[in-house]
Amino acid sequence: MITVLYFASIREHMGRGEDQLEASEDLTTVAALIRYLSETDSSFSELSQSPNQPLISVNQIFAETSSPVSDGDEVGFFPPMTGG
Amino acid sequence: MISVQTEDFDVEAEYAALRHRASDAGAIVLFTGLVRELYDTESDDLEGSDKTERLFLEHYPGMTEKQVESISQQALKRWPLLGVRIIHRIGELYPGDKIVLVATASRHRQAAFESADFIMDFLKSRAPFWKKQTSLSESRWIESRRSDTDALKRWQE
Repeated sequence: MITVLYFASIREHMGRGEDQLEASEDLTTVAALIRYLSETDSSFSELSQSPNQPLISVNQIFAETSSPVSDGDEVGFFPPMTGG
Repeated sequence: MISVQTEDFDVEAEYAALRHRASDAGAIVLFTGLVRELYDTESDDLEGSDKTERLFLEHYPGMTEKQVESISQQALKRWPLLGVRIIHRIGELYPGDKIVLVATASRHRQAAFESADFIMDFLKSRAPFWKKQTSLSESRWIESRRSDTDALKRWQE
């Protein structure tokens, strides 16, 4: 399984904080994961088309669309951070 | 030493603990960030902002601790520090509440000042925290400021 987590405004937009996806040979990069979620979920599709692209993490480390993804990974999508 | 917590912290106690830990320090810089009543917009146009009733700080458990620890380690590599203490609060906060504490100890003041400044700049835009402001009229996620991401560039030289 691949765990997908959403935070802050993106969590609210998605209406949930988490998705569990079956790992497969088609889901080997973040870009493939984004494609899959965009095709199967209209909320995610809106998100991936917005001018403010979410930031991405894989296993709690900043990642890019080209980053690899495999079974057991945790992928996070979130807006720019506003701590401090 | 880092903490991510809902509870408030005691500035005097943190100062005393760091002073004890960094026994030969000649300088301790201690910064605290507070919840303001007015959150300004990108353009600093106060007409567009409302008085804050409360602030909610969301974070990414696990990644937050990793990122804050990494920021602390970067500061320790870059400056000759004798101690670093970072506390970041999460959850519901009100105007006047303390949000963040960054304390650095070194033999000389320059390293303590600069490293505290560095840590704050990185906490603002490289640690997964998000603020939601609730005022009388609305609840909205505070947007990141260009000036905060630009602030990171000055540490890249």
